[in-house]
Amino acid sequence: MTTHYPEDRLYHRDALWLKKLEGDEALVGINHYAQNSLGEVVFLDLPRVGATIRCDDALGTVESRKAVSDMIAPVDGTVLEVNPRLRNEPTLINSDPYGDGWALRIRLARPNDIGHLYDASAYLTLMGLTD
Amino acid sequence: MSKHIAIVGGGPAGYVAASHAAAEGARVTLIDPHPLGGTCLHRGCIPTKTLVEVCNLFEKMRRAESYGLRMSGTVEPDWPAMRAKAGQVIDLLNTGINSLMADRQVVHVQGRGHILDGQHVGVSGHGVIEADAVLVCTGSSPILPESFVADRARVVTSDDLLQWDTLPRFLLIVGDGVVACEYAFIMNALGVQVTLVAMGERPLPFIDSDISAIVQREMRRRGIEFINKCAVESLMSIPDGVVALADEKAVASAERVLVAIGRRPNTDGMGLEEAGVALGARGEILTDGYMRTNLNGLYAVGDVNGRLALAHAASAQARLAVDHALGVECMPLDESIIPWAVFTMPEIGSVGMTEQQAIEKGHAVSTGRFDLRGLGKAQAMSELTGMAKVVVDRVSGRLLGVHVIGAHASDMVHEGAVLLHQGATVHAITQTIHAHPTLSEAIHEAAEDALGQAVHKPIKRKKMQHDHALP
Repeated sequence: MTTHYPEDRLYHRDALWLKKLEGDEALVGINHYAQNSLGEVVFLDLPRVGATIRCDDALGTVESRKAVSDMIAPVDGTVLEVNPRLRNEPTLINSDPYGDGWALRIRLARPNDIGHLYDASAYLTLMGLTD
Repeated sequence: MSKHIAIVGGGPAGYVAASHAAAEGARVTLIDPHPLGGTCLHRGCIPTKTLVEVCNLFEKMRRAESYGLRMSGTVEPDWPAMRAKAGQVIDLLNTGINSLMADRQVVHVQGRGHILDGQHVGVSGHGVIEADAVLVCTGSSPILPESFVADRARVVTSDDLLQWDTLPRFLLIVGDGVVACEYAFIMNALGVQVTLVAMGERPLPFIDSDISAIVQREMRRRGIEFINKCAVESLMSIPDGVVALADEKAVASAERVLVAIGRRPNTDGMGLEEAGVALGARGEILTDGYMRTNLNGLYAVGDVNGRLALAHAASAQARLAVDHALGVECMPLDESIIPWAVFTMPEIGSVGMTEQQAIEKGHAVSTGRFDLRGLGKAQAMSELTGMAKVVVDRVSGRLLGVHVIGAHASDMVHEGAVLLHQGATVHAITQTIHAHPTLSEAIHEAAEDALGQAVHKPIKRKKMQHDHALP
């Protein structure tokens, strides 16, 4: 069991997590490791509703006082919703990265094509993290 | 007997030419019906920079608490007072130019010049002025197509925006160049809801794409709507505003519209065609590297020659044309090394080739980048947004371009301009110690990054970085 990497998520090797929802929908957010490395998030530049995201391409940027980082898409998909609270409360990424700090709700282009994502324990191993 | 130079137009081309010619010992007549200073002083660079400075201060005051300053009461933009402040700056600088001209015994003839040939200018009420050479420095004007003049009270260009008594709540800006983008940030900072409609894909299409990507991100952060790849064909008046149409469909509407789609040379109504002066397709006076026209003794300097619409380029051309006319030894300008300053928020300083231009010219390109927020000075100033980027020829190491966005970028870029002028390699930057703590360290770090050795940057290269370090 891990506290920083919930087991109901899948993890892209970069910095985003994905949680499958009903049908072909999924939530996407920034994982603990990334938010912790970035420090206090000040702005998220996210795609608009209807935009297409492509696996391994930058879908937007996350900006903290320390760095501006590309957010690398974990899968192919279409943006259905952008978390409206992040506009005024970007630090939700830090305080609740897997809950209120979710970034996008998307429609998966190929719902069954997520084998490249890691589960929590595999991600920890990949990153050499204990938690 | 000293030579006599007649100059038509008293902007950054004309008054600098006058000043320089007088310093070289010539007699000078400067012909302009308007107060000296041109578009730059009266309707362009100077008043807008005054406004940008006010906007930057306003933004800082709104963030006062984050600096540890407790403020009581509110800070509100006062547009009439801002205009008055800009007016004071204009008056002061205009007085300065007038004093300079008086000091150098330049005769300012207030009238409209009519070009007869390279030795004669007619001025109504003043007869014909005879000179050894004539410089045409009449500048340019904003383009406002017929189909855009829906309602002259609501549709303005940069010539009349500063005459507004009040600010609109919603402003539509047509254009994606310097004027369009600068006013987008100014108006947004003053609380106006701004929509920019651009022909191209990104704002400031001539600027390095990494830099304009940051401009675009700042627009999104501030809530400036940017509609790209949209060619507005006409503007239509509606009860409370104006609608922009493209492909016969409404693309955006607003209370007022700023049309900023470019400028055209001021060459009408001054007898150029009758005199046989060769003009180009955009109406610009065609010139050679010394700013000579096809008529003996007639030079065209600044925006009117369509070479580079930049005040400082105009001034440089002016000195060159005067030197040539007076027989002083001179060389054509290297127009590829003219820095740009764009006062978006934050501002941009750019010189030399963009990465894209360098690739198009066939260079094997290496680039180095450094985010300003990695610097102690940027953190101390709370000026986090920005980046320095260097473009380098990977084979020779020669510096090809320097591009900076961020606080004081327009002041920092000249390090790059000097080195480009000298044909230096990127090592000239890395081997020069840069003072700490300064924002200029970003250029040093970017240069080191081009060599794969930026000290204050993780060694692990980011996935999106597709370029390669120099060997």
